[in-house]
Amino acid sequence: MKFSYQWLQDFVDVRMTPRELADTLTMAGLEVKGWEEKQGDTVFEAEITSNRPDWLSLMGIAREVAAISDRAIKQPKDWGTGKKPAPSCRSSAAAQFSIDLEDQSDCPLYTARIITGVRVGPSPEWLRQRLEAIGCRSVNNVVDITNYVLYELGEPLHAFDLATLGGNIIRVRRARAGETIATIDGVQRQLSGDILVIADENRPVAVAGIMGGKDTEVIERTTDILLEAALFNPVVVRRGRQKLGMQSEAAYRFERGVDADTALAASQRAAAMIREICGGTPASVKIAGHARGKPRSISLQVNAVNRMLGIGLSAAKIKTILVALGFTVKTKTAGVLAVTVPPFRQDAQGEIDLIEEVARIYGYARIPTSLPKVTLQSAGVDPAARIAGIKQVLVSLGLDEVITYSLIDRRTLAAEGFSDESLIALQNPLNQEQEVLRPILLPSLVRCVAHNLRQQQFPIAIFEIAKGFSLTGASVPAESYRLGVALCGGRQWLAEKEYSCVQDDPGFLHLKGIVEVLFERLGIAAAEYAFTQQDDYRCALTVRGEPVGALRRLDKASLERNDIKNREVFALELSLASLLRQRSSGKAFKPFARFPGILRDISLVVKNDIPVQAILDVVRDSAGSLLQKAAVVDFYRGPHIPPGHKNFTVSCFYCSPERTLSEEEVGQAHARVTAALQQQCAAGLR
Amino acid sequence: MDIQSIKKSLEADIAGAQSAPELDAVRVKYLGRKGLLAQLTATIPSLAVEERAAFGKQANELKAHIVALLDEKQRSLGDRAAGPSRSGVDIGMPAIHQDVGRLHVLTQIIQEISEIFKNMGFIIVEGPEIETEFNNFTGLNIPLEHPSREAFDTFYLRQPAQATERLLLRSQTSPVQIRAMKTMKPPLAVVAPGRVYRPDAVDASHSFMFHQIEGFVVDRGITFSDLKGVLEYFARAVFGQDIKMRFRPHFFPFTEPSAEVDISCIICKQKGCSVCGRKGWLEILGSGMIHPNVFKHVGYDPAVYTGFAFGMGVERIAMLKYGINDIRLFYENDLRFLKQF
Repeated sequence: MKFSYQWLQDFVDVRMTPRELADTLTMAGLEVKGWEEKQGDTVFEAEITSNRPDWLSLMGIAREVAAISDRAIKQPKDWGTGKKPAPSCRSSAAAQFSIDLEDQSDCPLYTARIITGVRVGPSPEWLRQRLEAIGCRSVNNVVDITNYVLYELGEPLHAFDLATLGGNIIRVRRARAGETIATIDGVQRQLSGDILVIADENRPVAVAGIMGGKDTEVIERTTDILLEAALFNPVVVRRGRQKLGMQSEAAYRFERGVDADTALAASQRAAAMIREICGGTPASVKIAGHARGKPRSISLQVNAVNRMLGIGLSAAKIKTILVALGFTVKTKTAGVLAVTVPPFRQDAQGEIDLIEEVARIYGYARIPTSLPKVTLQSAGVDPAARIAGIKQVLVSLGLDEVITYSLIDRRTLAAEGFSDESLIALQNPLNQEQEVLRPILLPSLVRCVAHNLRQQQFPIAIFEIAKGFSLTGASVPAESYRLGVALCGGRQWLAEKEYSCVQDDPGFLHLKGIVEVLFERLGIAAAEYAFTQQDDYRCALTVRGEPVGALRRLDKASLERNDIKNREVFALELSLASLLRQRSSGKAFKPFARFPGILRDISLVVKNDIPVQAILDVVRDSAGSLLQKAAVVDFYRGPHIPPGHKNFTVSCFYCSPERTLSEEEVGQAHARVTAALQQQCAAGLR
Repeated sequence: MDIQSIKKSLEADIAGAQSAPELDAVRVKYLGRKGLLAQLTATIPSLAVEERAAFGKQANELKAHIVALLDEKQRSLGDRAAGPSRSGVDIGMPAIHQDVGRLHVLTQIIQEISEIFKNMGFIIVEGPEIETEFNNFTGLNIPLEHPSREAFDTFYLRQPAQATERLLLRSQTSPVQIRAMKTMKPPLAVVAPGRVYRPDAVDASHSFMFHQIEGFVVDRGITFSDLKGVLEYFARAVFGQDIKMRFRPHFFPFTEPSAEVDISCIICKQKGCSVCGRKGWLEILGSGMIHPNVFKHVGYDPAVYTGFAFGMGVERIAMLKYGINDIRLFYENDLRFLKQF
């Protein structure tokens, strides 16, 4: 909302520079976002919070300035107070008019003031300048006066050309199906039963509280007008505006709330200005409804103020602050104040609202600082700390963390095999690219890879830990943490010896390495998980038989979808929630052997289709308890080996916790291994 | 040789020395036990008594001059790339190291801030990103048909058939307050970081997904002055001890009195810059005393308990702290961005 320094002076003597005024109002909660000099005046731009509709007027801002700087409000004499509205004059000839309120909860108050003999024309210069300074376009003197009073008092007014209204009646009613109206912005609008309209005998002539109709607006040849000042239900105005997709200064104020006193005062103020500027004769005023309820009274405990703020204000000080803001305050009993809320402060509903008023005007800056005495509490399991620990392991493995959007498009997920029904979709997506909640992270990571490749950033080793979302049949969809990893391009370095180039292109075994390190840190032992190679592109991972995810090599189609050319991408996605369930909590020290052990290598040739795991299993099963460790240390396939075969070297380390082993003992164990391999794997020895 | 000729020959010798051993030879020639300087001082006893002091002083100055020139040359020889050693070790070759990755800058900020509050005795909790309308709005004293909802434009979910409540993507981390207060009893000091969503078209300063950190304290006797104390401690820990702070009245439906917290502009030090809009202040978080209606929704008695709550945007803090000028950078994940933090 914009307001000007000079205009504000009409209502209160401001003894501050524009800059001081801006700072003072900002620190009272009426945030001045900026200001500019305009023709010797200063125009401020303020951000008014939705709880203070009274600040959407100069009068409201003036009240605030008056309260802060201890000054009185100035009120021009010709306004009338609005407190004693003129009774409807049945005797007046022009008041053949009647008002019909279909539902008083839609429109608690409607006043129609008829003014005859108006000369419509351009506004006087001062009036036009004031409006234009705050960005309001000048139309003609009558319309400008309604706007002028809107900015002064916050009550939206509307003037109809009386001659265009049919049937001497104003009906405030819901629109009927099929009705339309051309609003003054020139748009033809389709109305419906949830939209409130002002109608004459035949048709809607305004969308109530939002905008007037084109063919009843006040124009040059208008002589008699009907000036509307009313109250409309904020919710009805809001819904209607949203339905019609409109914005207006009037709707903005009605949605936040206007009070009856202000409406009546505005009507009088506008009538007086029209008489003076446009020469009309206010002929009669018709009032329907009765909006003014009993003023709200709130009981305020002095202790409650001090308990909330941590200060020690006296009842007298609190009273002074509230009175300056327009509240009426009486002392009920010692330490309890009876506070009556003025009609323009509908936001003040309870004690806490008054405490805020006291704090605001007393000044937040004057409230001292302290630290609460925190009682120690059990933190329990800190899931964030666990996740942080996992992230630390991944970072130490050389992976950079990425954060990608949780929302994704359907097409990408369809390519990953997700059916439309399995997805959680937004009702109001911004666009198709962010239409559903992702069940998996992998597509987002591949996009990150593609982006970095386009930017020639290479090699890429990234991970993300974020929620995956899925429908489970429960009333609320499930969300649980997942881990995704993507690798593209190998590290390259010069080995120190001979400075030969080492190229380390990622593959399944790199992904396996990440899993091994992570699982070891999570306390998931090697014996508890298993990899199952399904084909060239996928390897499943289970922990104690439960599937937890997969290692992937992206196929051609996925790479092409992401426009990745001549590159391999390896990726991994795991359900972190499953892993955290499977992790073992404790560690226990295992004594280790201090006696020297004996290392024996065995080199064997087996058929290509025998997996290495089968060989290691045979070694472990046949060696007996002395075998400490068996590992593949060499592998060969090529000349010197029969076609369809491969050559492994398995290194076996024998050791005992109790004694130094003899060559003979180890020889026996190793002989069993050799025999078993020959028998069970049809292995040839080399 | 006299002092002048020693100086002259020294300059020539030093210029000629091209390696450490050569320079060592020069050092011996001038400063050695039988070097030129020693020869010079050996003549002192032969001088007249009144000349000795002055000559001694000149000799000392010469010595300092020689040492300075030698040292300087030594440094310049050292600066030059060292040649390979005899066995071929060349330290100029590329280093070999295990790569270590980096946490995303937002994770770093969340961890830093969480740590500050943990040290004050707060616990960290998390809440779901799919929320009910009650937890995101109603429980937080944001009525359905109220203009205050406009500040919280929200993504709604297409209702799954089984849903009993209207579901949405949380537009703020504040619903964690409702969840935590419903499951725990005061005293409570809680911090909850996480992702939030609002249907804002993406540009340099808007994102439909971003991160917030929510925090709140509930106990008997918690005051607005505690709110100020805790947030001041926090802001100084993150932005430095020398910042200025101000608490500005504001409106949030779930707190009252409410305050926005500004710090003095860390970029221009209140001289005026584009980041603070020449105002000298940067808004860093919203806060306030928890509204009695929120307590009523979770079954706490507002006559017994008081509390404060606060919330901040993680991206905003990161942008201010590191001078990042485009929010999209956080989600683009360009390695040249990620590797700077």
